[in-house]
Amino acid sequence: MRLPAWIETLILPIFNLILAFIVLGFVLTFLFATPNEDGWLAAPFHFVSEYFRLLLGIMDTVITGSISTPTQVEIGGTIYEKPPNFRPLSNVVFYATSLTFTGLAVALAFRAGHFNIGGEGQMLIGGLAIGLMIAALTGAEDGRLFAYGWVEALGPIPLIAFLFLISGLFGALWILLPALLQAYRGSHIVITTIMFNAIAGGLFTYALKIEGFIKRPLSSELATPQAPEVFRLAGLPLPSWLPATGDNGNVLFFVSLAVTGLIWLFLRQTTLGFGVRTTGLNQQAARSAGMDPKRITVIALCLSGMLAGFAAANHVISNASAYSLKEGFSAGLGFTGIAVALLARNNPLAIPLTALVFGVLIQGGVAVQTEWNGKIDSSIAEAMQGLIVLFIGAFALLLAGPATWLYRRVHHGIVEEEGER
Amino acid sequence: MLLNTARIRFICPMIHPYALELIGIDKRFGAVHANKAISLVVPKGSIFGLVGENGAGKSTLMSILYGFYQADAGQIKIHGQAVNIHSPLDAIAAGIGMVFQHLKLVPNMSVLDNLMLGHEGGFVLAPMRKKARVLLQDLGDEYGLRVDPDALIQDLPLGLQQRVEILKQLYRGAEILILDEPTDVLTPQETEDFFEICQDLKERGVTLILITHKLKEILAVTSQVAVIRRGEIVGQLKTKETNEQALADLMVGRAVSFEVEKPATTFGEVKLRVEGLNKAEGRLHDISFEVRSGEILGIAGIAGNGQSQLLEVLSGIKGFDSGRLEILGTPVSSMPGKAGQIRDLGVAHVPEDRQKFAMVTNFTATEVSVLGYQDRSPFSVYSILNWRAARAQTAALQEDFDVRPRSPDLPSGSFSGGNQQKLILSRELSKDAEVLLIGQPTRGVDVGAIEFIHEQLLAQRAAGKAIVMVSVELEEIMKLADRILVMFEGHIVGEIAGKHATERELGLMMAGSKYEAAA
Repeated sequence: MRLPAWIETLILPIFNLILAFIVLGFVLTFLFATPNEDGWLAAPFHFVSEYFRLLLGIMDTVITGSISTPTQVEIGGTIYEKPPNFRPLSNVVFYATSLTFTGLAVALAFRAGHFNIGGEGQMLIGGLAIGLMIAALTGAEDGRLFAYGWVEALGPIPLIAFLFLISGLFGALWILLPALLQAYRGSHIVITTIMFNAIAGGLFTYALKIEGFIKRPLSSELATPQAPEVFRLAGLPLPSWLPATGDNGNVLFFVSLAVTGLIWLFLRQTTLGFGVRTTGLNQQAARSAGMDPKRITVIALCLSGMLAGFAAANHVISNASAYSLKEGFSAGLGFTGIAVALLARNNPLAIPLTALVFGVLIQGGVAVQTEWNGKIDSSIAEAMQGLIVLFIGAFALLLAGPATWLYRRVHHGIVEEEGER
Repeated sequence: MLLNTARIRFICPMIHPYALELIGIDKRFGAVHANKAISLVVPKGSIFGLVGENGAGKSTLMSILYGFYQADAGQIKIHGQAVNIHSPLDAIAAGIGMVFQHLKLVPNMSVLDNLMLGHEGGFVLAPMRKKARVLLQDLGDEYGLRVDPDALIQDLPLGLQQRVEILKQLYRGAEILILDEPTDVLTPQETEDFFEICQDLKERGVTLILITHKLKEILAVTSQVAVIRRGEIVGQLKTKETNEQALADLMVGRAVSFEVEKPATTFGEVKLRVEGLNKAEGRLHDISFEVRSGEILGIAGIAGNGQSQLLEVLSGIKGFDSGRLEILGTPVSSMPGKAGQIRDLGVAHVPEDRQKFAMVTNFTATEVSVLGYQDRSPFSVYSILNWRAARAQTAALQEDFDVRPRSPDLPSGSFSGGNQQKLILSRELSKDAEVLLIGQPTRGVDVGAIEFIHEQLLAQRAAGKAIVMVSVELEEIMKLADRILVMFEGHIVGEIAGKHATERELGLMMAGSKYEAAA
């Protein structure tokens, strides 16, 4: 007997999440607890109190720390009040936007039956394309970029649409060769996209090193110059109900939501999307239904690359990345997209939500670093991510057995009365 | 005598008359009461038949006996001793062996190594290999089951592979053998051999439980037969005192008609023409035939002699090397991957392996009934799918074809085999296609549904469709087809009119005798 869908998709992950936090508590206690003189065995109560102090403390830091900066600052024994700054929340939304794109990229490829592990590379190449495009639309003066007059006249919205277009296009082109090799020659996409990640990383760094290409002029830093104002949505009037985070780039989160909706509609409501799902589950059935699984594989993977490419646009438009692309700016966001898709069970509609969860964890790591004064390393946030992926992804069915048993016990009486089917 | 040291030996198994007694076996899966207080006695050294429709509970019962499930209540006695069977290991220790429909052999290993599998007796294989070779020799002599111990499984025909599987069970000390649909993959001649083996085993005191839906076989070899319906034993009969009709009626719970009315039709124009078709990869050689409207062309042959490839070529999934294929007068290119184009010409295709080719088990019934017709109205307009229309049509089709349960939103994989087949048939037959390609119309389908499907096919014939039907069930082909072609190793080796065909003649042709005589 199978469990009802709501238990499987909602209740089980929540319990898995709780388990992940229980384990996290032990990790924290063993690593960071103040030791007791008599040893742990002599003072079990001390262990328990340390366990809860650290676990609850870290959770508090991660959650409040990813909303605003602390409102109370202690300097020399006195506590000063400080107005809250919502910069961290803005960063969370920034990460969530990128992760929604890379997560969707992984999920879409998964629905077509393939594992696109190359979001990282597709994002970098999307960034390279954006760098080139901005270089073409601007002139440099004293190390700063300015947009040509006719570009300025276009205004931010068409420019940003164009940014997305170009980064998506290059992201798609970057997976085209692996996709063709997979579909027509059977080279495994996981291997080719990993290789293409390495190539993309090299290419991007190399491009940043050539003078007069996309490198920031008069600077030793390997980064593109800051994009001019017109690319930053700066002039865009924002509705008053949005939290004042100081970053207009956060509007892109709504773009990512819209893209999520479009991907969902594509899979559900179009014949091509139907073809993608059929190919992903049963290639032979797709072939005998008159679909072309090879063509569909290539299309789906290119769409996946396009989505990963979109994430690069987010980095140029957001304050969080200082409107420029640094060497290795993708910073694992392409890989974290795999975890985001996994956590969402490849359901597009759940991806923005899981992307937010990972956004909180990334930003929370920064808060841990500052608030625990280096006593606890920010890498604990990565451990937290790891545990969550482990419990919700790999151990997804850990609790399915007990849950089924419990469900049967609870429902046995009801079933009995309903009688035989 | 055998290797299983842990195995339970009974003090006087020769005296107790029953090899196996099931007393009040009861099993529920949530809302489904799969086995309702089932009691059975199987006399020692007999061939016992167990028949029932799909989902009647026979596989649950056998799974309980073999230790895959535990019964909620009831007792199992072997040679009069109560035993607890918690796992297949317990079952093997108690002397129960199971021969599955899909043989559990490793194809690229030798017969000997397959026998040893799970009883290697240590890190180094050589000593056990030596022992096993002797034991295999002994078993072969004792039961008359000779197999070359060094042959690779993949090189053996299915009949011999099955023999290896039986030997494996005997080697493990089985005294009660459960055989699940053993003859599905065998030729008529192999089937006869198989039944001779069964008789030999029986005479040497092995008890056989035969699970099958082929009532003729039950009548031919068993001494007793139990009929199971909706989890209950509705009859345990002496085979001598019953007949096919009575068993079928018991299984289904109502009177089943075996005779189908096949009214005479006049054949119309040629709808499908194949001329000199060759395909090296699929081993199709010089295939030529025509099908006219109002005609059912049956293609008989042992599984794996090119029929599947022929269907794949005709339906446009695969291409061909040379020759000519004309559908409704239109020549079709020899390129692969044109299933959609051929559908649009007016061909409907029910593949042989429905789960592999015709459906996606994770899809709902509605999604499956759109599959292949996703580009047509009302399912889609300008590539946008209309699920509401699709669902409505699926619901209507489920009504027409009596698909149970009538639920368009249920995952297609959770329907029983027969209802899955009805789902596929309803999809393909409702499109008013001129040519129907039907592979194994009733594979894994219950007696009740077989009757229904045959009626549907004859209705299509009466409506003037041209039908190509591939089936390994000779009975079905002889009953429905107007003309029968027999395939052997990719050649068409014979043609007989349906009404003149006999099982013997077809069987000989299927085994290639005529072809060899000519060559």
